[in-house]
Amino acid sequence: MALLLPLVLAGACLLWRPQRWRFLLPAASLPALALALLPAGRADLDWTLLGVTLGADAASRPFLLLLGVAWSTCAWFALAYIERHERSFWVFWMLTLAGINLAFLAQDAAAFYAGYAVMSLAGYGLVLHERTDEARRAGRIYLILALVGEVLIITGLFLLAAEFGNVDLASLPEELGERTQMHPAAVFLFTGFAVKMGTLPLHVWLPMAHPVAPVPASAILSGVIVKAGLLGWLRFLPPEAVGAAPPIIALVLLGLAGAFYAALYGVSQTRPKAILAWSTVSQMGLLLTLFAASLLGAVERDLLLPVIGLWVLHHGLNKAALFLATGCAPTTSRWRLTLFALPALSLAGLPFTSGALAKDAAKAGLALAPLPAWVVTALAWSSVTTALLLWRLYERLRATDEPVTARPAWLMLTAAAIVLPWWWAVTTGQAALPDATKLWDGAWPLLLAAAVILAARRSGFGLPRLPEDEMLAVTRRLAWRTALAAPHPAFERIWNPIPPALPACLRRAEERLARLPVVGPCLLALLFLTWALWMV
Amino acid sequence: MNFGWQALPVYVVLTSVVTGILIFALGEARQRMRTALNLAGALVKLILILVMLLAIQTGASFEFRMPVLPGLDLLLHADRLTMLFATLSALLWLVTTVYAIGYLEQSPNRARFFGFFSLCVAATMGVASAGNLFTFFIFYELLTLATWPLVVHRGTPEAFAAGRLYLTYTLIGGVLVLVGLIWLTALAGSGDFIVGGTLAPIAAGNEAALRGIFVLLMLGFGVKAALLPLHSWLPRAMVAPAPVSALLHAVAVVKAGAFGLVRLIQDVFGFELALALGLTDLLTWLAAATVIYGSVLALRQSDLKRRLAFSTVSQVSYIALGVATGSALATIGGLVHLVHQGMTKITLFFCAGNYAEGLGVHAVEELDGLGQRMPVTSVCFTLGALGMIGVPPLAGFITKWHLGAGAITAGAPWVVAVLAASTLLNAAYFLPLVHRLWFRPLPATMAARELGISGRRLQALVGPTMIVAMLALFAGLLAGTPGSPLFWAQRMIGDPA
Repeated sequence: MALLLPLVLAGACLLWRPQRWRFLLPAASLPALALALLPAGRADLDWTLLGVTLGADAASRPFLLLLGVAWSTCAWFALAYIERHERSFWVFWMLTLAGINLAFLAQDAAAFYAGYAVMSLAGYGLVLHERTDEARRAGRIYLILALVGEVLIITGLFLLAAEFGNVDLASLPEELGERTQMHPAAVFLFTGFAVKMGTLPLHVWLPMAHPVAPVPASAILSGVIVKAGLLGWLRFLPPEAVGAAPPIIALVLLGLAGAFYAALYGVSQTRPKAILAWSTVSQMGLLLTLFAASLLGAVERDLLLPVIGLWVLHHGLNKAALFLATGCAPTTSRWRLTLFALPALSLAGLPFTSGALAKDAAKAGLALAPLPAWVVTALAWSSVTTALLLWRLYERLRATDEPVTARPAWLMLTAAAIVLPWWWAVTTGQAALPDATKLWDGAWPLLLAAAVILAARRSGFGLPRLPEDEMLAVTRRLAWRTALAAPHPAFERIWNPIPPALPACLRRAEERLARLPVVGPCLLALLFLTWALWMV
Repeated sequence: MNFGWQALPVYVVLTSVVTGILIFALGEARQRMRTALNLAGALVKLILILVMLLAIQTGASFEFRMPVLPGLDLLLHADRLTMLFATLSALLWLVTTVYAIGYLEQSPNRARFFGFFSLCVAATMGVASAGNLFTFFIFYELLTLATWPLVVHRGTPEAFAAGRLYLTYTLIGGVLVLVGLIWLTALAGSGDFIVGGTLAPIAAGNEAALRGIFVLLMLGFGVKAALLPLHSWLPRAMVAPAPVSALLHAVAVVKAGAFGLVRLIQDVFGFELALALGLTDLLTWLAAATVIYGSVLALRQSDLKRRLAFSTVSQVSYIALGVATGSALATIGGLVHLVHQGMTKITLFFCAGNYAEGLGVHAVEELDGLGQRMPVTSVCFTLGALGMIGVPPLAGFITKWHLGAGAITAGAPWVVAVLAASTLLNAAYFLPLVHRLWFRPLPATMAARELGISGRRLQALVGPTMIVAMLALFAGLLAGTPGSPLFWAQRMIGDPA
């Protein structure tokens, strides 16, 4: 049902303009919500693909909840927001939804990959929606990185499949067994999913794709789709796959580096959605840190899995709410400002918000793991940079806001973002009212950030303006024209094949191969050669 | 000799021969009669094949043996590999016949076309059900000859040039096979195709001769399978009408070559012997090189059909790659690709034909915005392109999964690198087309251009296109269902019949 409804609607949108049954479109993601709340069940669809198994389990439940809530509210938002290319938008929207549903529900490797690939490819249509040159460029980068990611993932899956076949994801840890060395597949799978997660240095597509995609598409891209990468990690990389510890600390560092770098780089940006995209990169860095810690062993994993779930829910809902806010002129009235400020402060970890809850749980979890103490400290400091980044967002929004109607979907999602993570924390036993130390832990980063902001304003400190496409711009400036740098002619040729010239030698060879006096001797020579090789 | 139930493979071949002869006899004018005959022939064949399929499922066997010379039999039989290829051919032949009737409406020389079309399929069926190398060779050569009139059907100088090239290549290939065949018969007699091969007992002391024979046969089959560097005829044969190209690429000629390679490794030498003689490595490397080379050249073609042709060069080599890599999984991957590539590629060629007939579009650049003008064709094209890249849940993914995992179990991880590179290259030459179809604006000239075909003809073209696209989709989506191509390929490996 969760898979079929979006597909049917995608087909319907392809055939007819949605008018009378528009109200159905936001409902497409509700089955996922139902699955998140219903007791666990498994469905074996042996006759599809390589034997598909579907089901919701403890790991995927917060993901499904996030998907159900964020996707339907964003669809509701999109109903009024999308004006151009309406059908195309909904077709890709529904295909993406079908893909991510499959990925979140899949219990076997091939089905997960199938859903993941469909989601990635259909997402291209969402990024490209506006059809502007800028969107095309962003879409190109998105697609290239996504494809590279897919190829890495499938390579990893080949390595797993050679040993275990189309492995049941629930039993993967047992299949891997105790090992002291990393499974070779782990490297490919980690890097492949890291593309979606925007892990440094594979994050390039995020800050490019978000500003150009329509608001609801950016919201689900940042709120939900990037999380598919995380679920991929959780599913395919149990502690058993990694074995020894040394790489883990490197991953922790990588995550923290991403968290701080992205937040600080994002401060230099001007477009609100670009700032939010950098914030996502930053937050995903923190999630990588958590995930890396969960790789230390089965105990740590069991400890941190609920924390990661809570964090996913918290970040996904709040980030999607913030994205919707950018489409609703949040600084134009007081109640709008409140709606904007709540998720923003929550991301920064203000006490009593879901952000504080998630951060406290993460700190507690990390403190128990055998990791250096500075990891926990760094987590606290990341709140400072997040607060700075979100203040920057507020400033930019104030500078650019034009009065537009606010939409009820925004209100809905923001409300959900405040309530749901708490509710989830209560049901999973992670909720706790903060005591005085925790209050102070949550408050000092914000106070420090406020101080920094005040000081900066007093001193008239100007921010440097850094290019939006960051690494690509740097590479361009270094005149190191990779295939990724768009204006490079070689790349253009692949993308827009103007009748191209083969390299002269190849072309001549091709032509010659077509002539009898060449073919015959060629064949004879080849024969002779292979013959001679064996006779020796 | 037995002309009863056991000889069903003969009747399968004969259906097409009779259809062909009757069509020649009818002449050009009697169009309704010809159409009816064509469809009836295709349907009867499909039904016969299905009957055989069910019978084999319940354990029956089919064999028709006719001595030609002492010790040399004309042998038609039906094992699982036969059925895999024959079912594909019969199914796609039916669809292509419908397509061709629509495609060639009002063009001249249709009797000649459909006559040879039937003979071509008859030869393909013979190749599929040949029970020994001698029979295989006879039908293999008949296929060469029956296809030539189709390639030059348009009668333009360009078509004749392509036809000449085609004949040159395939006849040389035929000669190589013949030499190999004679040598082999002199050495070991005429062995039937049996999984595992019949040559193992005589291998000791004859290694050099066997290697020589293998290379001769491999190159001979490699010509039709478009192995590097014997592939040049294929892109040039693109001047043929779209249904011919489709059939050529999907089932008939190219597949016959690939099928020959499969038989050579599995049923003549046997994989173990080929491995022991160091012959599989040669084929693996050659196939891997072809996979990459075909893709790189495809990247640079601006003519749609030429791009598809180079893509075939690359994709057909997956079959040889899988079978030569040799582990159970990889062999399944290779065998199943025999079917999957056929379904996917025929979809793409039908679409190319639709664009050409409908709007006169031949070049890649003209595809801009056509998703709006020809939505059904464009959806089918998109499915086909994604299938070629290996995106799940399409058929290509099932192939790639087995090939990739199989390469690792066979201890050849470098093949995975080839697959990865090929995936990216496939994406690089197919996705821009998909991008053009759906995300580029439709140029005003194209928006104003009338559809060049009537409504009824459009149905005859678009209908088959949809059917094959659905086949390519469901072969992947329902791969776990009994009766799917994957199911058959697995049965073949798990339980050699």
